Amino acid sequence: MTDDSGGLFDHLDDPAPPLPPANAFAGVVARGQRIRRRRHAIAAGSAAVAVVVLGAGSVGLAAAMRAGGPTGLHELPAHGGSPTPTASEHRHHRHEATSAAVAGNQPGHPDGAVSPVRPSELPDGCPSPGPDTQPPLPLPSIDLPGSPAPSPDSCGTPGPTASPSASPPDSGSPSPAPSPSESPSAAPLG
Amino acid sequence: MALGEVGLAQSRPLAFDEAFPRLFSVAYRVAFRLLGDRSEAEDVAQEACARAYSRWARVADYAEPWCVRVAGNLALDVLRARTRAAKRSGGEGEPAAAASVIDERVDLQRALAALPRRQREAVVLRYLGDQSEQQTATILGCSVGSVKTHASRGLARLREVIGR
Repeated sequence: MTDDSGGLFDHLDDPAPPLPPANAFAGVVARGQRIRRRRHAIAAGSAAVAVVVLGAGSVGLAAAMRAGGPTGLHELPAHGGSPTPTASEHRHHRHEATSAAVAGNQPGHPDGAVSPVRPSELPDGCPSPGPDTQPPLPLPSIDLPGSPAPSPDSCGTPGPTASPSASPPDSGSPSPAPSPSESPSAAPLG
Repeated sequence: MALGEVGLAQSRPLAFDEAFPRLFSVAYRVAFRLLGDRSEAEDVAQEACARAYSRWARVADYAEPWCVRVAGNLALDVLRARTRAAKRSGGEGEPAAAASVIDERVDLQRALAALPRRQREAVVLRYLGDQSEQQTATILGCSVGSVKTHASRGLARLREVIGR
């Protein structure tokens, strides 16, 4: 032996080690091919399972996005509306601010209304919807085309068509009111 | 026995059919040292060679220590299974000579099992498989100095356990 084990394992050696049997090579090759095929089959199966899982996940995600898209639009106004105001919304808020300035302060609301959208544009005269109502609620019915001119007191008071109950209490987003197309009564998209 | 180095430190790895006799021999040797049974050692050697064939493209460069390692692990598995079977049967029906041989191997298996994994692998490759330090370092993926350390410590603990 070439090691430094001091013959610790020499007595365990086979005194007459056999040569490989005649048919051993063919058997080893056949067994090796079986092992290789099985390993390839396992790898292919794992890859197929991974592909199926990924495909199912993609389909499920796409279906969830399709199903959740309109729902998200419905829920968006309840949380304060679209984060990007449209031009009509700007006009609407400017008009609200002017109307509120003309109307003056309302008794019982010395601080003015809590604007649902842009507090800097609203003077103090805008009446508050009250402590229990949700301050930043949008008014989608006010901005509808063809609707009558807003009254001087239309400064964020929840209208009858709005759905304040659907708004969570933490909807203090400074985003402006939603466009009519985002209202819950709008036609379903897609 | 002259220690050939199949698939190690050669410019061109051997084809499997050229390397097979040497691989079978080294695998049989380590298996018989652990098992003490010709038939089982041949089965283990053939299984180790078959596994080497199934991934020859990857192990051709260090086929001999790879086969020794696989044969050692397979032989230890057989020893464990044999020990479990002997415990279940209560050791009945074993001839005295065979029982002594088995006890010797069982002692060796227990001593090896008591070693840390790195030391056990180094001992099996270096002393049971008669691989060089360079071959052992290649198959274990460590330096020659580390192989020396692990093999020396493992052998010292084996001597303590076996009591020789």
